[in-house]
Amino acid sequence: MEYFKYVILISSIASTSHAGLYAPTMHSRANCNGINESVTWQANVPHNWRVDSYHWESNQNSKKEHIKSTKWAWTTIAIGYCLTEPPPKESPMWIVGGYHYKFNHDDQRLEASTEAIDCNVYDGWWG
Amino acid sequence: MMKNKTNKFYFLVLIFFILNCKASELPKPDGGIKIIARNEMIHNRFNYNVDPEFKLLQSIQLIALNPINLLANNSDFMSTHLRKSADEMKIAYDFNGIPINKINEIIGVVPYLTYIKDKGWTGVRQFFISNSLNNCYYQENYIILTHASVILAKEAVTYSVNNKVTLYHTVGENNSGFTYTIDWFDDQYFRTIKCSSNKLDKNIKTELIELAKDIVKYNDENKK
Repeated sequence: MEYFKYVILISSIASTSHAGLYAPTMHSRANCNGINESVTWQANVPHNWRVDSYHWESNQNSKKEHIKSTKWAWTTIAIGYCLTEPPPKESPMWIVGGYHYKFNHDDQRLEASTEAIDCNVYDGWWG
Repeated sequence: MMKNKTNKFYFLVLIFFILNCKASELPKPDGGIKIIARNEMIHNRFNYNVDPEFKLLQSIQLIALNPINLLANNSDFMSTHLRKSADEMKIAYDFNGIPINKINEIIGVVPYLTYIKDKGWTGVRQFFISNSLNNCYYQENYIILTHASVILAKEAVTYSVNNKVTLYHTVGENNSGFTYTIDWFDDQYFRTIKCSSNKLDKNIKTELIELAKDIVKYNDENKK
């Protein structure tokens, strides 16, 4: 399991945004111009988050998978990702599943599970 | 021989430590509500004295006035900007929200959690104003779709809201303001009310519990 550093993004105000502005949002995307990732974010408001992004091949006979996991961190964005990931060798595509965790005072949550086989409804973080 | 005995001793101490160091596992999808001792929970917590959502709550009325957020005509139901009504969002489940007669005004609603293709958002956050509670939000996580679960510290758990597992906490300092949060959990929803105030007010806890009960009652009465 590899751990990746967090990237804190400052987004300009756009006419629309598909990522969390005033509440946290979570999502995954797969086979998206080589990007497989799962992310949790809320603009300008840090939380104690962790994301585990599972990437596995769509061929059910293939058991190959890998996990991109973040550490727990106080952050406005937590991303488990692979950039420029080539297509799988034994399957037509990747499936990406995300587990999005949060640690509050006295409670530790899996807030949501996400799954994607494409760029999903999100075309990026900047609208 | 002494050195070997000493090494053996330290090795046994290490094994003993490893076997007795109980870090809890992460919560699992559809894992329900689990309650354990606080010292068994993971230790990677960041304790904070000022809630980062305090400023968001205090400024929500100004945010609502921003022309970008007056999105009555925004047809992008996936956008996460502030909207006047939940009807302007595509929500993946039956959302009733907070009963309007128990508060002063709903400022707006935003999507929360994740969007499921062809279904909609799996959570909603409503910002509102109440004379007794000031600026607040109410949020729902519909765990049937998010597959959420939670591990709670038993020292903090009560059953104040309709005998459901409940947590309450206050965060803040006199020179930075306070937030008051109540969470309650059942087998369909994880729900939260969070309010902000510039001063410490011990009466807010009682108000929050009563409002939480009103929300449960309102949603039970309007179940489809």
